[in-house]
Order: sequence, then structure tokens, then C-alpha cells
Amino acid sequence: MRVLVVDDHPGFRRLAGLLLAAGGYVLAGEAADGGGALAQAALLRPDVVLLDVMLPDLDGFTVAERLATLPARPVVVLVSGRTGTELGRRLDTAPVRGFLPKDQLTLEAFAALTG
Amino acid sequence: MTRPLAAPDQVPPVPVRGVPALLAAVPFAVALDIVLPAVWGARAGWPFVWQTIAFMVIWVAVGWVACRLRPDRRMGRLMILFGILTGLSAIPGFGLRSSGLALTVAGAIGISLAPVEIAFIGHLLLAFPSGKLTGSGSRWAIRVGYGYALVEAGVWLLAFRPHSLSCRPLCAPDLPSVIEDPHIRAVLIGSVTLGWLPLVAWGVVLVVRRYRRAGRRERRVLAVPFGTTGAIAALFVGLLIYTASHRRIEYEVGAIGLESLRAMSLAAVPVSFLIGLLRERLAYARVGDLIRDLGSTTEPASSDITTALAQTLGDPSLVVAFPVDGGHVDSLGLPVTLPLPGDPRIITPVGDPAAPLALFIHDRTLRDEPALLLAAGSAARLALENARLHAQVRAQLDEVRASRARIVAASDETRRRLERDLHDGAQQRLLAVGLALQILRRELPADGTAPQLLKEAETEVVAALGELRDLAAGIHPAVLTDQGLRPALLALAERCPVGVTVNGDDPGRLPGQVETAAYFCASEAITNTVKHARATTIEVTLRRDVGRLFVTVADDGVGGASPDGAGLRGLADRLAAVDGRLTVQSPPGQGTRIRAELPCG
Repeated sequence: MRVLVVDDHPGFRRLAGLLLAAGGYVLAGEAADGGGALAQAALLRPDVVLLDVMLPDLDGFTVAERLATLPARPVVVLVSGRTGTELGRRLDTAPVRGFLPKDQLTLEAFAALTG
Repeated sequence: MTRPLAAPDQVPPVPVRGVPALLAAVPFAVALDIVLPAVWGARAGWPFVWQTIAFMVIWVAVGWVACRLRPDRRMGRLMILFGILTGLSAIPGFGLRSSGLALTVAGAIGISLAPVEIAFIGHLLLAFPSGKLTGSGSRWAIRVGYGYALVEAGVWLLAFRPHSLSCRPLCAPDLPSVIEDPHIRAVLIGSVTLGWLPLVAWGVVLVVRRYRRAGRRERRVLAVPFGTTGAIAALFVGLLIYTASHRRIEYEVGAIGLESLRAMSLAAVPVSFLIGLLRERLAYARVGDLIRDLGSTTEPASSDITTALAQTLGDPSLVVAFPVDGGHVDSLGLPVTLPLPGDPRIITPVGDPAAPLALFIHDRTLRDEPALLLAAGSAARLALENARLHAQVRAQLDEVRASRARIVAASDETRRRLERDLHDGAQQRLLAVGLALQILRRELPADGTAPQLLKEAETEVVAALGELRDLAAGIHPAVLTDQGLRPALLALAERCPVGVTVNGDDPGRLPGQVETAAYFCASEAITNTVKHARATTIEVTLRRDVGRLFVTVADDGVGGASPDGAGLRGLADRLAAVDGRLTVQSPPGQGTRIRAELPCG
């Protein structure tokens, strides 16, 4: 399964990539902002996008909505340093497979959402 | 009131010179008007003589009153002089029955002075009420007027020869006849009379222009004399035209008309001048009203003082400005911009000019009334002192309010930045540590103590992240900035160990400082409840009404919270910084209900 990791912290991108690789996923690519994420997704056609909510340009919800319109629509897993409650109602209506607070990002949780 | 008030001109008024001498001349003029007809007999009859004397005395009396009202002004002197002039210029009209050198001289003087009266009336009007001609236009007009009067006097002396028997309406001095032909004489007299037309028109233009340029308070003074003189001038012009058009045979009719008109104007004009002067004087009487009005209320509203002073000074545009730190404020504490040079309004300081109690910003014409300004300022001094204190306190209060709001806003901003730093810094690093531990654990064989330790470390990191998040949310919840009050309260409710329900509609996004104050108010109330109230449920209710937000936090705890305790006092202060209010109901044993009310635009 090919995964695109989107986060503005390079440290997080690298470690999340390593973790996913350790779990047998293929790291399709990385993006540091919403615009990059959309371009990479169209180009690389990943199966899953691990998408941070707080991005410097577009927020994760907007990116998810645009990803949902792609011909090869990827599965989207939102992650954030904030909790689900803090993100509020937009989480309920976002076209995503699931949400993981970053401190609960484990291979098991990721597999459970994408499996 | 021990300190003297400063007048714009501290110089005491200097009385104009020559008034006593003129007054001393009046009895001689009167005596002349009586002695001449008494000795030689008057064809015009005694009533005319008495009338003449009466007019003279009226003008002199009005002039004397004007001198008493304002000794520093030339107006009174002009009026007295005019009175004497009328008394002398009427002598040829008496129709003295004899001739002789003395009578010739008296008659010649009278005939020479008669035309001067017309120019003199213009002078009086244009100089009223100060007695000084303002502007080169009016000064030139008056010079030309006097010059023309002399020319006319010359023509009359040469050409005027009344019917020798009737000697009506005037008796000419017994002068040698230079011009014998009665036709030429008539044409000369008619032409020279007609010559007044453009001059009078010029005077009218100047008078009208003066009135139009006058401010409201000046017009009040000018209205009656200008109106009366204007009406008489209109009749005069009509009569001049009549005289000129009938010069061939009936110039004497015109002359009789002129004479009666002169009589009318001599009666009406001085009275109207007196009315004008008294109206001006009324402003001083209103100072008395001012004292009474300001004294009748113990603490008059500051704005009332401005109104009362505006009435007294007859200047509706009056603004009373009070000096405060770094500028001036009006009686409501609002900033006032002082007029710059060129502005039609000018400034008069009240009190010590170096450190004035207040500034009157007023119509320019009031500059001629330093005594009135001084009197009004003195009368209102105590009230002004009060008003200044009020204005100062208001201005300071506004400043304190603004600075409090700024302090709170700055503190909010600091909290927001701190939260942001925690989120971007420590939290991100701990997350990275957690991920790294997880990867490490996967790469190690499953048996042994190392994976176990790593697992424990991961748990610690997650716990630390949780604490860090709570800490950050306590400093400033990002959800409040991102999504507003209700989501933030919901997130708060989720973290709370006691069951919290959030009711009411989402008020939507509100100004940042209102959301922050409301949030921290609710958060602090909930924290207090958790700590002290032994409550089982807490209910937070949001309600937005017209321009106001109500946040109520109610619990079912022990009650008995004191609104004066440090916690609630702090809440009230926090709310006051955004002009909000806190109400606390906490009867012992019946729970606590705290309501915050905030203006939200």
C-alpha cells in the first residue's frame, strides 16, 4: 500500500515514513503543505494520504475535500496534534476514513483505519 | 475665588477724550437755540424751536448713556457731537426776523452744517456700536461723504435764496447774491441734492454688507438701529427723487419734506441706537441670570454650563474646552481641536493665562467684549472648576479603560503565543520521540527487557503529551482561536472531571477579546466549582441577545461562594476590562450560579 505523508514538520514526516515503512507500507512521497499534497496526490496516485490538519496554506479539511474529487481518490487519514474535540464538527463531515491524534499514531491504529 | 480671572486685555479701559468738553458745549448750543429766536423772533414758531432743542438733547442724552456704558468707546462722543450739530444746523430754519452780522454768521454755519448731517448719519451707522470705522471701504466712504457735504454746503451758501417775504422753510443768511438767476440757482440746488444718491447707495451697500458679515450676536445689536435708519433712508431717497424731478417750481416742497423727514429720523434714530446699545448691554444682565442658573443647581451637568455660557455670551457656537494632559477635552471628556489661525472662532482663556482653568472657543466678534467674557468667566468659575474636574475624570477614566483593555489584550496575545510555542515546539518534539520509540521497539526482537522499557517510555511520552496539551489549553485553547467559544467550551467540558453540559445556541464568532473573556470566565467558574463546590453536574449556558452575550455557569454544589473572594473578584475584573459584568448567586446549600454579561457588538 502506497502512502503519501503530508505534514509541515519535516521531523514528523521522516519518522512517520520510517514507522510506516517498518509496518510494510511503501512511502509514495511527502508534502509539506496543502498545495504540495494535492500536486503529489495527482501525480503519485497514492492509496492512502496521511494528512495533518494544521498546514501553512490550506487546512487539512480543505485538502481532504479536494482529494475526494480526484479520479483516483485516495483513502485519507487525518492526524493532528490537537484532539478530536478541539477540531470540532468539521471532523464529522470531512470526507476522510478516520482521524488519529498524533500521540495515538501507531501502526496498529493506522492499519485498523486503512485495512 | 481668590485668584483673579484673566481677561484677554488686562489693560483697564481708557475713556475717550473730549467728552466733558462736548457736554460743556451743549448748554451753549441750547442757549443759542433759545436766545436767537427770543431776541429776534422766529417765523417758524416756538414749537419748531423746542422740537429742535428736544432732538439735540435726545441725541446728547443717548450719547451720554453710551459713554457711561462704555467709556472706552467713541460711539457716545459721536452721538453727542451729532446732537450739537443738529441743534446748530437748525438755526436757519427758525426764520429769524432780522438780519445782521451775528445772524448771518449763525445762519451760514447752520446751512453749512445741514449737509454734514447726512454723512454723519452714515458715520454713526458704520461705526456702531464700537464708534470705530472698520475696514478701509467704510473709512473712504465716510471721507468722501464729508467732502461732498462741504461741496453741497458751498453750493447752498452761494445759491440758496428763499422767498424774501415768507422766509420758508429756511432763512438764508444775508449774503451778497452771487447768482442772480433763480433758474440756475434751482438747478444747482437740485443737482447737488441729487448728488447724494450714489453716496447714499454706497453707504447702504456698506451697511448691508456689514450686517451680512456679522455673526448672530452682533446682528442682535445692529438689527434695530440698522432697520430704523434703513426705513428712513428709503423715504429719504424717495424724497430726493421727488425733489429733483420737481426742481423747477417745487423744490421748496421737497425741502419741507426733507425737513420733516429729518425731524422723524432725529426722533427715531437715536432711540433705535439706544435700543441697540441696551441690547448689547443685556448680555451683561444675562451674566446675572447665569449666576442664578448655575447657583440654583448644586451640581449642574457639565454640558449645561456650556449651554448657559453660550446663552449669556449670545454665541451658540461657544465651546468650553478644558486642558488635560496632552490636549483639550470638552465637557463630555471628548477631545477638542483648538481653532487654528484663520478660523472664524478665537480662544479666550479663563483663569491664569499660563495655566487656564478652561478655554472659551467663541465667535470672533466677542473679542470686542473682553469685559463680558471676563464677567461670564467669573460667574461660571466654580461651575467651570467642577466641569473641568468632571471632564478630567472622564478623560482619565476613558484612558484607564482603554489601557486596561490594552493590557488584557496584550496578555491574551502573550498566552496565545505561548500556546502556539508549546504546540509547535515541545509537543512536536515529544511526538517525534514517541514515533522514534515506536520504530525502535519494532526493530528490536520482541523478547527481553528493552522492548518492555521502550513500551513504558512510549506510555510516558503519551502521558506527557496529554499533560502538555492540558497545560497549553489552560494557557489559551487553540480551539477558541480557531473555532470559537462553543467548541472551546465543549473541549473544556471534555477535559473536566465533573460532568459539564454546554447548552444554548452557538453564538457564532465574536470579537476575540469577548470570546477570550467569556471562555476564561466559564473556565475559571468551572475550576472553582470543581475545587470547592463538591458538585456533581455543571451546566454552562450560552445566550446571545441584541448586542450582548450571556454566559451562565450553574452547579448543584454547596453554594455559599462570596463574590468578594479573590477568584470571583478576578473574574469580575477580567469582565470589566471588556465592559462586561458578573452576577453571582450562591445561597448556601443551593448551588452556585454565575452569570457573565458581555457586550459583543
